[in-house]
Amino acid sequence: MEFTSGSVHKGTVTFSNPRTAGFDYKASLCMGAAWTEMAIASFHLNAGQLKDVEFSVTMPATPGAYPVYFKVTSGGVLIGTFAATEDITVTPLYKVSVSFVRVWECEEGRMVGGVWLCTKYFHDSREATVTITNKGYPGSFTTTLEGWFYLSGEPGSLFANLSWTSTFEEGQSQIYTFKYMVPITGMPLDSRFFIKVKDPDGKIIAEVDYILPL
Amino acid sequence: MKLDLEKAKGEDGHILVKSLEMEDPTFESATPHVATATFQNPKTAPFDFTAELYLGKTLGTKTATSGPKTFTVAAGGTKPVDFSVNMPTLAIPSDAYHVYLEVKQAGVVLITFVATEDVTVIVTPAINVTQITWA
Repeated sequence: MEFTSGSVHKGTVTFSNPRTAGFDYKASLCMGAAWTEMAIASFHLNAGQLKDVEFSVTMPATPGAYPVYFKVTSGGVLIGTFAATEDITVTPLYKVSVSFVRVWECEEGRMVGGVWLCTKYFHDSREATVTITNKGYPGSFTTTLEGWFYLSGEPGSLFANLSWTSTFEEGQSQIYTFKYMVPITGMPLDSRFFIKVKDPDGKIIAEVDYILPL
Repeated sequence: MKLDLEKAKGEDGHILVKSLEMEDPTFESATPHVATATFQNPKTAPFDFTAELYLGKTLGTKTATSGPKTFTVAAGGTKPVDFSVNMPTLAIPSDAYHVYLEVKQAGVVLITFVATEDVTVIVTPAINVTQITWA
């Protein structure tokens, strides 16, 4: 089981009372070799009763593998300890913000069928900047920027798989500036830019889809 | 431990109980235990007796019993007799019971003793757990 650091998840465990009398119990869900207590639940089980008990757990801040344990007491006396068969792997939490700013705008245009029709615009290249900010975990991000134009439903690649790999310290931003061309004058075009930010393992941690007028 | 007895009902002089020994007076529910009573025949002739050890809230209410045990005690002699009792199965965490020892001869109750100390029957809490599921 894999969760990101700081995320909140619900663990559900079925407890059963094998005895002929009912008891009050208190169970602690612990994680890590130090048996750090993550959540506590108090419940009552009648004789022979089964009950699903939920534990709301905020995952540890430090990435790593965490064994999961339970301690159960009744009347203040420890009556059982249990180990889950599967560890939890806590992965880093990358918080990023992505902004997209187009430098050049169409001078005139109108919406046609949900698509911006640029009726007067520059014929030279357009310029845009993408700002990516690490708001979470230090590490190396792979930033992938892909841009696509759609013309009459047929996607044509303006540029694709532009990629930068950068190390972002927490709070640090990287600004990428690029230019793109408008291929056909006067046609209704839908410009879409896909910006992906990947962690060191290649897992996408942020993905933004911009639909912009030309 | 040794339990002291006193007469609950019946007539003295037919048989004596020199001692009644059992384990710790706190027992787990539904578990078997053995108490040993040592009887003494004060008479000048041997007699056959039937004795029954039982746990109950009141005289004659047999919540758990050894069942009748028949034995012979020689004239003036003593006889240890074991009584095996399965503790009551409790539906509550604990309960207390009087200990009675009833002695018969030829089918007639001679005397019933009661221990001066009750036994306590408990259910030790336990729990089972299945694998955790995460959401």
